[in-house]
Amino acid sequence: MCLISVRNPRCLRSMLLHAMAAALPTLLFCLHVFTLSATESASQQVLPQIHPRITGCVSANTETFRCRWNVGHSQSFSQPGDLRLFYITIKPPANFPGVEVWSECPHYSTDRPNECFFNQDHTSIWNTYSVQLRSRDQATLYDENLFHVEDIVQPDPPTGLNWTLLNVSLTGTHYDIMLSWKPPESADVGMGWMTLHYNVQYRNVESDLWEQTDLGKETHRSLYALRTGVNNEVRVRCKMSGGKEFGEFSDSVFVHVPFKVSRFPVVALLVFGALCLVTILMLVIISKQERFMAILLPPVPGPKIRGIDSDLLKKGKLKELKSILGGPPFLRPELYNHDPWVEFIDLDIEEHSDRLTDLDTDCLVERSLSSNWSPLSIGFRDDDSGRASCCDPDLPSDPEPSPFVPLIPNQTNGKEPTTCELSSEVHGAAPGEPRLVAPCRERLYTQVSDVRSSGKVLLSPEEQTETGRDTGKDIVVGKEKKVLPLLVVNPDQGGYTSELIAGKMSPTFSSGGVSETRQTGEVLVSSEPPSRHQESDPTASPLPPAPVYTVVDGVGRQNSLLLTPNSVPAPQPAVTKIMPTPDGYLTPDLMGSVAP
Amino acid sequence: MVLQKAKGHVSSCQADTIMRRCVWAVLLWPNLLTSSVPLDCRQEQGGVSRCSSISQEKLLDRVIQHAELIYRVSEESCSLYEETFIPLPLQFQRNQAGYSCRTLPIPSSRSEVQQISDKWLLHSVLMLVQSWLEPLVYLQTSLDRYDAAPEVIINKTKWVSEKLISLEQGVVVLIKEMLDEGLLNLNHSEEALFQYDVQPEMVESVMKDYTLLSCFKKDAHKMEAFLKLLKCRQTEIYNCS
Repeated sequence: MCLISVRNPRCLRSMLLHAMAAALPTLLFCLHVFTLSATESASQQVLPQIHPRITGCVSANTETFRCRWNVGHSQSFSQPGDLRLFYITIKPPANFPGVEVWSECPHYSTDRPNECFFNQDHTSIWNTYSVQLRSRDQATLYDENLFHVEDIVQPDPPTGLNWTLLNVSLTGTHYDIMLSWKPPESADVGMGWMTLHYNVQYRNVESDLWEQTDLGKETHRSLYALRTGVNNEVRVRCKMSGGKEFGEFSDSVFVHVPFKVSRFPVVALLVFGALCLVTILMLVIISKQERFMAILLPPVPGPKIRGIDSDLLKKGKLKELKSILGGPPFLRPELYNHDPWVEFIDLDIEEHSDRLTDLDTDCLVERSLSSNWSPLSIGFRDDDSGRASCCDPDLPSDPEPSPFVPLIPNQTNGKEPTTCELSSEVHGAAPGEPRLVAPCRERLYTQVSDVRSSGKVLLSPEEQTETGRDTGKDIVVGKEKKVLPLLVVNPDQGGYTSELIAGKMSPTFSSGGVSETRQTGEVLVSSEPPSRHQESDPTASPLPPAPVYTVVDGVGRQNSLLLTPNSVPAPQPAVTKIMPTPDGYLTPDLMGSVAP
Repeated sequence: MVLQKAKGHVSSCQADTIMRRCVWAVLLWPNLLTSSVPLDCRQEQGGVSRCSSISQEKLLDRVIQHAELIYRVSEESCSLYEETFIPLPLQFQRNQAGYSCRTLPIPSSRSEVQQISDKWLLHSVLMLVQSWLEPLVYLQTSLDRYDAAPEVIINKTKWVSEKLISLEQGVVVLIKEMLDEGLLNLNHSEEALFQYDVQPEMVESVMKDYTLLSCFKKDAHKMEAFLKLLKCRQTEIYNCS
């Protein structure tokens, strides 16, 4: 095939021939079209020259109408009267078979040539008109037209086009205007003979594109968003309602609103506002005024005990505080159902973690492991939440041996028990009962040296080297540095009992754990404000202040500690009162007397 | 307690909506009267008590509105029909095709129109309206026979038929009110222009329908003009000479 090899001269020749053959008809066609167009244009130029024709019949007010014709370019019709217009009104019933009576134009216009004016008498609406353009001798019919008068209505343009400024945009770049006009005088709109619809067009003078509005019946119209500083051209036209053709456009009105600088510079305002804001922020940050800082960057709220207002503690209003802590427990179930303070125990488990596990396992193993305790203690792993310490009543105080009020009279001197001696002691005390094992660790007890009126409990520093650690460690209740000792009051029905539960259990643990009733009590200070010189054996002290320590009698039911009543007679009279101590704190022995 | 609160809230919400509706009903009740009464006026030709609640002026206004709308819609459907079915050369030869509009002895120029009396105006309008009730029905059936008739034309024709009926009722009431005449004996004596038995051929049918539409358009314009002239005379603001 020749398609493949072009180099073949025979192929090439044949290809060329094919191409020529294909091109030839198209060439001929093009020539034909060209000639046709040429002849057409020639004929168009020729036709108007020869034949006159009716250009159109138009009515402006549905009462009269005019017919105009074109004489063409022929010189033979320059004389008036060379062309005559005849018309007939086909009034029904149409008598086609009959003789048609044609009438000549009633009035040939004087102001304009080649126009025939039909006045009111000769205008009948709703009837068919037939208009013929004939030569002078009526021998030649040049043109004919059929119409109904109401169909050929093209109203005159509206008059009195006027505009008023509505508003200018804030930026001053655009504005709105209200356009108003009057209907043409020739149209009898007032009577309702003609109902007109208006169409407004507007454009920027420099552009060629006209923008249109919808048809409206009203003689006013608002135009929006015209640009300032630019010359805008507006015009309006109308047509009859139900009519086909629009009338002529009115004279254009030019609208120009100069571009004004906007009354307030928006950009400048924004920049200024931003700068002010930045300046204020910088000033605040630099000056480090606490008040402003607090407003701008409020501090993170600290922990709170529900029911205890930390302000009360700060201000030393112990009476209000006591009102929360004291009182029958059944009136304040919320205090006993939650352990808010436990959450805020700051346990330093890093140093004690190993010890914790070792000691605990020792302690725990030696216990008579009731089902209540085992899950708690074996599974215990301390974490920072502090809540875990609730499960083991001994453990909350583990990292903080200093605030713990010792329960064993042996330790009144502040000596640390040796490891696990305590446990044996406890075991020996009440073998048959489940024990609350004192934590088997060193430095378990310390002496409460002072209770401040503000409620702070000062613990005597340890004689060991780890004083710093003791004082440094805090069990935080609210924002206290030294915290109340963590003793739980058993909310028995009878009120306070002599049973102490050393430690707290978290709600989660307690539910699965030890007792049926919620064991979460509040923290109590069980000591009186001894002076520092009371480091000696308080039981033997002749001083009226009650001894700091008391003896754990045993572990009662529900894992409560049974304390022996104090042998010191001095505080006895104080015991009878509900508020014996100057600070209003109840000691465990006092509590014992309060209980029924 | 939360549930009770929610229920209470719901019931209060319902009460609010009920209150709102009642308020709207109270505010809008005059509209109910004005919008509903004219229709009742037209449908019940003997019911004087209801018609007395709408003034004659308002009734005339509504009648004129109807006539305007009918004319506009008929014009739209006529031009649409022309575009769809009638080739250009035939558009101006409708009267030469052998069909002409059936006309009634009604004045046809403005000057003639202005000379006739109110009574004659109203009667002319009534005659016109009544003369077109039947042919429009015929037109609808004829249009339905076409395959390619646009929905728009059919819908418009239906709409016009309905409006024409209400227009007739309105004009009857007007005659009764304005001319203090009794109920007219609605005699529909017309020339039987249409023979319903013979179904014309397609081309014939098309031309016939075209003629019908254009004639109806013309007559609708007449109705509108007559009624407006009547209104002008009633208000006497303009010199309706």
